[in-house]
Amino acid sequence: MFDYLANPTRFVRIADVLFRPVAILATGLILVGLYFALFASPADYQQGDTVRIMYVHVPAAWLAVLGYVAMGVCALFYIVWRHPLADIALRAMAPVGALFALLTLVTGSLWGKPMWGAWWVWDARLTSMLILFFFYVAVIALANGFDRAERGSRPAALLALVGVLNVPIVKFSVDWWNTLHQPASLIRSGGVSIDPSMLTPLLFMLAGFHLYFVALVILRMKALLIERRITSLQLRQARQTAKPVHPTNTGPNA
Amino acid sequence: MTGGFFSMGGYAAFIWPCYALTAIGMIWLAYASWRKAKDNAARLDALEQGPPVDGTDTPDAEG
Repeated sequence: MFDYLANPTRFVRIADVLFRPVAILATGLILVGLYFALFASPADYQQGDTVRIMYVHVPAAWLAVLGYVAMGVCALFYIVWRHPLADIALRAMAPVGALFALLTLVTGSLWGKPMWGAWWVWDARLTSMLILFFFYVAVIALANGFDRAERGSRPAALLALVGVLNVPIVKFSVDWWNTLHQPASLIRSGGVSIDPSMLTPLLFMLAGFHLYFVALVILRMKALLIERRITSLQLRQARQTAKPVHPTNTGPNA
Repeated sequence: MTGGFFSMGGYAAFIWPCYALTAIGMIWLAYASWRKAKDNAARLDALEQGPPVDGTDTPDAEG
């Protein structure tokens, strides 16, 4: 299956077919989610209307973490099998994941101020999420910090893989340490622990954000594959232009 | 819903910026990605149609 998709030309063809329906579905789900989040869901008995921040904060946080896991898988594929498409996927995912990590921090801060009385506290969940964001930024910088893009691929993949160690810390920080941030409240051991009236907008937004991520990664991978093709074409043209100046292959058996 | 819709129960200053910044971030990245894909496709088309006339946009060949 991976081999089938790993052919860049085939991937671009599949991406062309997939992108539009995924993007339309993502937009639709987010719009329905917004309707429920802002109009058709109740305020919380304790947090009042600030609970509506959850409908953007939680999906952004899920995507920041899951996006990093997906990036880590790509990094592993690239380091072990050296497949260029894994590198392309890693590069495509990093900015999208970074955006979600940043949005998690910003919306969390805007939720923290009215509920905790502080924009920021150095608690385990917030700090590990900030570190996740820094990993994203460092991977992007490393991947693009070389004169030829391919030179940054391996260091970026290695760094991405190191950052995977931070993922369980983000996830379980609320259980391992006594944090100001609340523990997992969507699914607990007893099942779903949130009222259906609040679960509905959250599920729509979660589905919409996931599909947005997929659509954007497809689009960015396609753009990067075309960029690679442009670079190789330019190199080939440059070599062809340089050929007449090379008088070496004129041995006696020529 | 408590209070007016836009006042968001007195928390408008926190809730609306959350939604606005999320929307701006997501729309901006989607637009930038779409723009990049479109520009690259146009560059590739131009390149595949023939070698550049002035030869200025070819990098130095290595090796």
